[in-house]
Amino acid sequence: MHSIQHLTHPFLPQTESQIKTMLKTMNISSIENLYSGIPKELRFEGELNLPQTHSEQETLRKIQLVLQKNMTTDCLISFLGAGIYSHFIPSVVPSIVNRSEFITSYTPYAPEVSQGMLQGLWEYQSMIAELTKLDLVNSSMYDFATALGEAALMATRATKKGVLLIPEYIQPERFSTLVTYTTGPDVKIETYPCDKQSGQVDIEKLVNIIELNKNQISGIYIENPNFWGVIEEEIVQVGEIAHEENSLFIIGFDPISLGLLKSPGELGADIAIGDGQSLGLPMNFGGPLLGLFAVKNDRKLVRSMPGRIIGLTTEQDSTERAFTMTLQTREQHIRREKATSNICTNNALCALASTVYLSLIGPNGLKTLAETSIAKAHLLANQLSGCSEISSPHFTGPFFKEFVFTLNSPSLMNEFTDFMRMRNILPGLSLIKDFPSLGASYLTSVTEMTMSNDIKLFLDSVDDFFSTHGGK
Amino acid sequence: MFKQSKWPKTLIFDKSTPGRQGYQVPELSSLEREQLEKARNTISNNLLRKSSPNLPEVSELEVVRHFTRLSQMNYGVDSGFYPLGSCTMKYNPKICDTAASMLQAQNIHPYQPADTVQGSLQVMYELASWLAELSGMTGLTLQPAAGAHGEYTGIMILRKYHETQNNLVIKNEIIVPDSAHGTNPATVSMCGFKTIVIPSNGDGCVDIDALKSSVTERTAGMMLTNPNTLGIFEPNIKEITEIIHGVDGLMYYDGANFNAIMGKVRPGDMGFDIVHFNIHKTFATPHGGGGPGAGPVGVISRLVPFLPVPTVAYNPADDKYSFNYDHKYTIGKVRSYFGNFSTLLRAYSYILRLGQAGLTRVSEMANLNANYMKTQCARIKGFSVPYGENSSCMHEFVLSAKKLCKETEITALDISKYLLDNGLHPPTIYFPLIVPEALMIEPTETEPKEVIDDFIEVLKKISELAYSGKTTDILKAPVSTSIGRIDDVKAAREPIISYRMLKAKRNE
Repeated sequence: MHSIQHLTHPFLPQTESQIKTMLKTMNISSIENLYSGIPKELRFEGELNLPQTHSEQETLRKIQLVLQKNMTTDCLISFLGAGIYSHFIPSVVPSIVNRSEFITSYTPYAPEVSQGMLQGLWEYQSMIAELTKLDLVNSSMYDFATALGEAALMATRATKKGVLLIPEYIQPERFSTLVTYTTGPDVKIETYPCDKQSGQVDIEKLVNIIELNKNQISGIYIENPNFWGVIEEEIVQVGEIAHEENSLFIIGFDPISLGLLKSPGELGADIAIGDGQSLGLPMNFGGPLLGLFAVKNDRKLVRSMPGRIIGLTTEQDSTERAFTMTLQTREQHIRREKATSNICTNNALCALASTVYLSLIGPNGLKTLAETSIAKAHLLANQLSGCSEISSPHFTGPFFKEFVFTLNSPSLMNEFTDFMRMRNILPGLSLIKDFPSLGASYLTSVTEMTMSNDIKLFLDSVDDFFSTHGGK
Repeated sequence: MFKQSKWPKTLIFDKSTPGRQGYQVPELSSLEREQLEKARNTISNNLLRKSSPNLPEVSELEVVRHFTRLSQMNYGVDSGFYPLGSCTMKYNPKICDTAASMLQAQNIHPYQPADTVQGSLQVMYELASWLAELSGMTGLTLQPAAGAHGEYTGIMILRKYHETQNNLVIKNEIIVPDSAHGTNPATVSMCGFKTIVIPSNGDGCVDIDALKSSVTERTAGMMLTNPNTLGIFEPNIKEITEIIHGVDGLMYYDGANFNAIMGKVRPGDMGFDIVHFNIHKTFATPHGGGGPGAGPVGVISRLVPFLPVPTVAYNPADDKYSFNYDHKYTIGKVRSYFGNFSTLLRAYSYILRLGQAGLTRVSEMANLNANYMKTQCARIKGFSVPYGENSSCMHEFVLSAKKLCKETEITALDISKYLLDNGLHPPTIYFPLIVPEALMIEPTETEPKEVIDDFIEVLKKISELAYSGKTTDILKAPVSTSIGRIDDVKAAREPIISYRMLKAKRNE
């Protein structure tokens, strides 16, 4: 057993002679002596089956060759959404978040040298508070799905009750994550259905489910717009029902929609959660994302919140404004097994990106983006409805930037998908696996990135498809 | 002399001027405008927002300047030495950022068909196999978003394992040493188990007798960091794993300190069953002021069926990568999609850049720097290394200022503030809890000897100042930072955590 030969590498600054000096200071003859504490029989003797050292040039070349196998959404006509959306990212956003003072800093444990990040995160909390009209926002969760999991656990902590009601029509990844998160603390998940025509909550059935779980309901969760893209017109009533049951009302929201739609706070939410990926973050094959977590200003609720929180205060000896991590007695490093969550590393830099993004677009930009998305989505849905082989939109409820459309002949679904794929068109997320009762349906998403020509090419391809397959 | 920038801490909200905008959305066509009116009419008025959200109205330059100034009031590894113990704040290579900023990495939707994401899948497949090799594990998930999330994933795997053995009713306890990170017990609770804390022995390691008396048929497993938070390799690790395995418990390896052991010893060979990695520590991905990180979890072969879905599979016959949902006892998903891809891509770049020899050398140099610092620091008057003073540490060590505090009233907190005035980020202080006036120091392998020597000189100066009674500069520190010591008590007593709350307070 011996340490490896001296290796000159740009990331390893110590020279051979410095290493000798350092060893001498310690009265040690070789680096190998530093490992004398490890029992010999446990030592790894072979050579790890890993790549050889690559120079920077070779590393970049290898990565370029691998990633060239990808096809980006820039080369596709993609109507994929369902939780992650293609939006334009102004150049200012990466330029700011890649500043090395931000990106190479740790969690701001030394607040005096970390005021920049702390103020940025405080402004993040403030902007999400303005969007949601809820005062208390943590400085980020990992994503929407884990924010939902944490909201479920928080509802149980706050109400001491153990049944969470959720729509059976939520994003499957979100559902699966929620099930995992609620397994340990034994929170029960009950689902309520939507009306088959409107795609909105079936209040009557929801009330029946509440009756079956009387006095056990920790919270009622609803999304607006929901997974079908449909706006829940009876959402205020659902909130009232939740509060009559002394349960928390939890709303999942799309931040872009809040340029147009009423905020979760105005709709009665106690907790609002969502994903901030739309606010200046690349899709990145699904991560990192940005879990938004906002809570009504209530003394009891704030103590049961998960996650890091930045507070505004002053210098000890003056009235000068200062920022610091606060309310830490909820957290794992102090409360240990009694903590509200184990989260520590979160998605701070993503939160900063969204702060830069929201600062750029401002109130009018957000409104315009929301209007652009809804206008283009409605245009596409209407034009698709001109095809007699397609039901578009599938649901009658008003929708925002996503909608479901359905092929009238279910047997054509695979061919339709393949036909579109040949033309580099991704018509949306196929729902056949997770929601088979909807038939041959796609969840289609439209943002400001959808060009008129994309819509035209899609519609032309739909015509071409049906001119050779059944119908017409 | 170090002097941090100090700009007025004006809030971006207070810089707002109605009518300004920092970004232009492309105009709608006339057809789309028509459609907008129709669309809006489908939504009942009481569901529409009455007034736009109160976001700042600022020009593009104002945004750039605001955040540039904020960045100048922030300290990162690129600014200077950051020996924050247990956080492995090493240099974050720029090439990894370059890789992560490629459009072929960024502009990929997670629901694209597999034939359009072969590159991303290859990165994930290869990275998973490399991490498995490094840790001596068989299967690996890249899904967890951070180290604590990896812990959560690992303990849920442990839980499901006992469930399939029909043992979950009995096995409801997990053993955690008193020196462990707070995330360990917090994770245990989130997964529905009870934490059993065992004390450390005089060497700062697991007390075997205490362990034996705590282990019962209720023991579901044990969480351990090795080397532990004191930077000491647990010499009795084999016996520990045998004791836990003896009651059909599983051993969980907390990878916080993995930087110490690459190529030298593997958790799998020590007898661990589940391992998490802190990608932002060991594999040099930037921590971004708090995240994102990534917390992949590796498992031994009989736990592979429990991994979250999907994992990535490779078929050499047609040279194609695909998602594999076939894990019989999967715990499900721990988050949406597949993991923090851009963070993982940085780690992939980092491993390529170092290679197998380089990674081993990384650990050697990390340990060399830590031991060199330990030897020097322990010689300074007022300081000691209560655990392992006379033996080698691994990548970090815990210095105690107990004597200095007792004799001069200069505390670990004071030391940390004075370090700031010297342009140095302080170590982790007051952790682990078993060391009084603790300073947990982890220099990492990327710091030159000169920087380490400078740090040691500052500690010597603190000792000299303290013992000669010239403590004014230490007690009023920091003064070279953008703000002095902060009123944390006020922050917690009257929380103001958003501009809405500040406005309400202003109106009071």
